[in-house]
Amino acid sequence: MTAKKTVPPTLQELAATKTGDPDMWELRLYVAGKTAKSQAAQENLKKLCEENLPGKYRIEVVDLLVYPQLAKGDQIIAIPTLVRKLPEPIRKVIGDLSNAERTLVGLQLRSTRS
Amino acid sequence: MPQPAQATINAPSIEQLLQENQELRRRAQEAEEILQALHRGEADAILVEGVHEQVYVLGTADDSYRLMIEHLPYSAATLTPESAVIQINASFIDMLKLPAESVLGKPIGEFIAEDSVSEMQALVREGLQGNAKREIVFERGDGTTVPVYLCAKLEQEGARGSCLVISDLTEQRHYERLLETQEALRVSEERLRLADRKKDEFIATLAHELRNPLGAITYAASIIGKSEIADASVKWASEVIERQVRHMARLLNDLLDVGRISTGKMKLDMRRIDLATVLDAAIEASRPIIERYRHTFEVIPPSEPVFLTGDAERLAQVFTNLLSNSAKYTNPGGRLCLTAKKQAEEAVVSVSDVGVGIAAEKLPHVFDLFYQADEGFERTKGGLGIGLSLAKRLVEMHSGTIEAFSEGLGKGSEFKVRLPAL
Repeated sequence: MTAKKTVPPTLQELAATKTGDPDMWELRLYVAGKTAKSQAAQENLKKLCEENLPGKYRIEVVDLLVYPQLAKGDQIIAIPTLVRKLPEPIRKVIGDLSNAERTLVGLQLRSTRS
Repeated sequence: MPQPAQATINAPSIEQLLQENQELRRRAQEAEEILQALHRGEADAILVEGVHEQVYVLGTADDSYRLMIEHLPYSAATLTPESAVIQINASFIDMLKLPAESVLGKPIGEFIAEDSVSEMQALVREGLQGNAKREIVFERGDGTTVPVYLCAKLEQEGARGSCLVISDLTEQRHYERLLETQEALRVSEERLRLADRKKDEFIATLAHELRNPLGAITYAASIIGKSEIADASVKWASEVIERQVRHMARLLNDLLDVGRISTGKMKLDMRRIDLATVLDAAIEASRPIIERYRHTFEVIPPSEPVFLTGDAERLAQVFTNLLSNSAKYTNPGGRLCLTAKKQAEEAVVSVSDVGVGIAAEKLPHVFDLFYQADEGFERTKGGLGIGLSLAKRLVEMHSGTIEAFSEGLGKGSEFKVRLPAL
């Protein structure tokens, strides 16, 4: 599975990817294999971050088909879900992120930037 | 959760309640968001908690089913009870050569060729009773038509309507037509073969019947020529008759031989023979025509005796034909040459002349039956276009080969026969 290169294999490793950099946006995208929306969400998220957070973001993609147990921490029910881990507080956006405006508002990226 | 310093042990403080309230609101909002997202179809997978967490991918089963229908080699559509098109697959679009939006929602009748409309109505009616099959002609967007085999079936689940499965018959029709053409060709080939055989039989009978009276004519002519009343002109006339009859007999014999070879009735008397004997016979037989044309005739015999297995008479006929042919197609006073030698394990006999030659494009046809290189070339030279063909067939019956060479028109020609030598 392609998830191998994007998903840390253990919870420990996953936790270790967190950094204390306050300017860094830590985003985690939960996907389910290669469903249409999972793939769209990955592409949309990458584009969105490049345009709005260049050089200030880190994306982890978690494939729940491979690691369903990883959903617990963020209480994921619907997939795909994007979770903003940092800056706090945690925010979630569900869907393929194709609506950029709604995604940015959901991440509170609009207000934090202005 | 941080505990306010003034908090009593039993009752939560206002701040605690407010904080709890805020947390509950947040969770309620999140739940609301999830529900709405699901409702809007924004998620295509759900994580279900059981003994283990498990991801259910929504729509996956439907997707593969839909793909299967899309990629079937058959066109398919579903209709409302009023025969309006509500679903179609890619094949259907391809078949009609129309964009999906101009098909969906329209009565199916709009896409049926006029002649087929009543048939289609009956089919849909029968389809709603259960299922039905008929041949229908669709009309495409570009006005062309496509014959199809259409199955209509009542939809058992959900809204009443019918489901159409359509197999394009175009290819099958092509195939059927191909088969018909093939059959027609086979019949016509058979007829031609029969006609050809009848022709061969007819030629054989004709040659036979025409040859029969010749003996009597020759005999009668010789009696007239030798009788006491015969004066010079009568003698001359009887000689003309005898000579022409001999010529006619030769032609008829050739025709009979062709017939024999065509029908596989030619019998060869295979013996060990000396090539020189065969050539002597051929030279003797062609001497009259060579002399008539006043050709110079050179014979280069083999340096040592060459023996082969064959029918002496038939092989002599081969070389007679070649020599007569050369003599005829060389202007009077020309030069003919016959060379015979043993080369490797073959007897090679070549007949060459300085005659009219053969055009390059006609060279491959000189051995064809009834073929005469130049139809305009003095028809009076006679012949039926049999001699060379007969020579070739006889040589082949002796496991030999014959080839014709010519540098072109006016450059003379050479015929080379190779036969297995002993």
